[in-house]
Amino acid sequence: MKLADLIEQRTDDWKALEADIHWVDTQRRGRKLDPQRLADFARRYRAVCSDLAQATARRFPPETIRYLHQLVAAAHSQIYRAETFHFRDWGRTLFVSVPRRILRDPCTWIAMAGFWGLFLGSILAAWMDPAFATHMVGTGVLTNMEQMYSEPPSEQSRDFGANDAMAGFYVFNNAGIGLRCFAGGLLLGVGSLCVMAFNALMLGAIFGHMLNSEQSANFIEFVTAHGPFELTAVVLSTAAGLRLGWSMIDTQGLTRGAALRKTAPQALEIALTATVLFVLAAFIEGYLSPSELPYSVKVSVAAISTLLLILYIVVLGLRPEGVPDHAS
Amino acid sequence: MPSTNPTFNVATDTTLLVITPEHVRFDFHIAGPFHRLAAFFVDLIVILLIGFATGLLLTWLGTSGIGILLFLWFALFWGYGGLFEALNNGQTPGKRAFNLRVVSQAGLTINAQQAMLRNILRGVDLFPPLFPGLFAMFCTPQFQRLGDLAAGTMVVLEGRLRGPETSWGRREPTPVDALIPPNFRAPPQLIDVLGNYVGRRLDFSVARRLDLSNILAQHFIKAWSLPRQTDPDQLLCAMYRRAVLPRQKEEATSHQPESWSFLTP
Repeated sequence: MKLADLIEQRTDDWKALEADIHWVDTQRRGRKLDPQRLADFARRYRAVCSDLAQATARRFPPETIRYLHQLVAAAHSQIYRAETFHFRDWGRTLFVSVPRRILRDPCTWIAMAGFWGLFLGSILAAWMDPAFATHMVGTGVLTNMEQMYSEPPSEQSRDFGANDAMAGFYVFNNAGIGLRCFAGGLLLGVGSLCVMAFNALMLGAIFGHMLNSEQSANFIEFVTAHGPFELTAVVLSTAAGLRLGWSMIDTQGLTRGAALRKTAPQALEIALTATVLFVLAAFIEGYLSPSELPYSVKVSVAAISTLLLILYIVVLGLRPEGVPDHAS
Repeated sequence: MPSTNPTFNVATDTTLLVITPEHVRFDFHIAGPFHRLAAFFVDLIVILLIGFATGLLLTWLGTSGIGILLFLWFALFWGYGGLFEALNNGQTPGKRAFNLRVVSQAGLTINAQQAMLRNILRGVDLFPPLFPGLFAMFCTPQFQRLGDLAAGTMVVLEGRLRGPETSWGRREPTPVDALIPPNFRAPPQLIDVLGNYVGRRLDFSVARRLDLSNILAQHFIKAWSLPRQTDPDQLLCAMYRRAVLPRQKEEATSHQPESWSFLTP
């Protein structure tokens, strides 16, 4: 049989497979596909694979081979589809593997020491020398802050619905900074450290300045309740970024690329945990912190959050793994 | 013998050989920065449109709406790419428009984690003055930006399927066909060479075509003692047609030169 006959004979099947690919691609997700047609699709895919495998031996012209490569690639992408979210695994990840990793990872403690060191140092500097805060933040922001906290938190001082708007803003801004801080870790961790240091110094300068000012009582009342979640979230974002960056430096015997690929999903889980904390903090900051509730309530919320965080990281982190991973 | 002709198996720098679980080998075309940039701009426009539409809708609801809006914008900004790529088999709307798809480095599918990861890390790739992502793309054989390197993914160009039809070196026979000896049988290697030439000849200018084809054609012009002015390009096309097209079709037309057609009723 001549080559042209052979190709002509197979063309109908190839065209049918093209139609099948389009059909599978345009079906809505989760709908049951027609089993007969699906079986035909699989059969045609196998047939095209064998055509491609024999294409060179059968002296197919280059255009046809190129077409077969494209056809097999397109069919392959439909048969092996992307894995979507496994929501069931998320609970286990969040409450079993992430705390264990956070507790055992030196990056967590380096990030924590770095953030709190710079933060407290900056508070101290701004408290002792008023010029420090002005240098760091600028007078505009500082007078703005003083005005914001000139009155104790009360329902009347805000418009109706302003709490919702502020909670949304805190998620958008703070959780966004957290994710950016994590992403910065890709630059060998330098990006994460920069974002962390910048935020620690700025926050510290504002804190130090406000503690000196006459609005200090209002300011402290506002920041108490959401502080634990928010500051821990910053630390965890930094830790996730550092993990990412450090994996490329200490590769544990892998190539740098392989080490990065192995570590990145684990670091992502920590960064997403930090995002959850940012969201929790945003809701507290949006609704509870500016409310008229007595200061004791806000302090106890802060205490409970701290306790929960310790429980999460230390107790869940130390818990022996009940069911061994399938990897073992 | 799959590898008698090396030109079929040479992977150029923009293809990646994938071996599937069924032991099938095929090439993926890797998408370069310019295809991807175009898709990214489409996605950016989609994000801005969604952001704008939700903005109009929710600010109309008052200050509470702004809170929901900012929450939505956060999810849109950080989750758009990851969500689409995980749910839509590696394609955002922009990638779909340009026939691009995200697959793992080995050519297999991605999972949701990889999709989220490469999109959250995009911020670093677009870090304004340096654009490390573009730099990384030019340094990696699979055009990966930093987010791709961390997630172990790459973007492939699926391209529009063009159909298996080949030109066969122009179907209608030319006078040159009659010059080829009837007992000519092309050995397999010759079919490969002819096929490669015929498949690509339209990419060259006429002068270059003559130049290239002359190298092989001269040999046959001498061996078959054909007229010296025989067009070498046409000769190779005719030889390829003789080798691959079924004989009867060819004979039905080739033995009736056009100059005779008006003599027969």
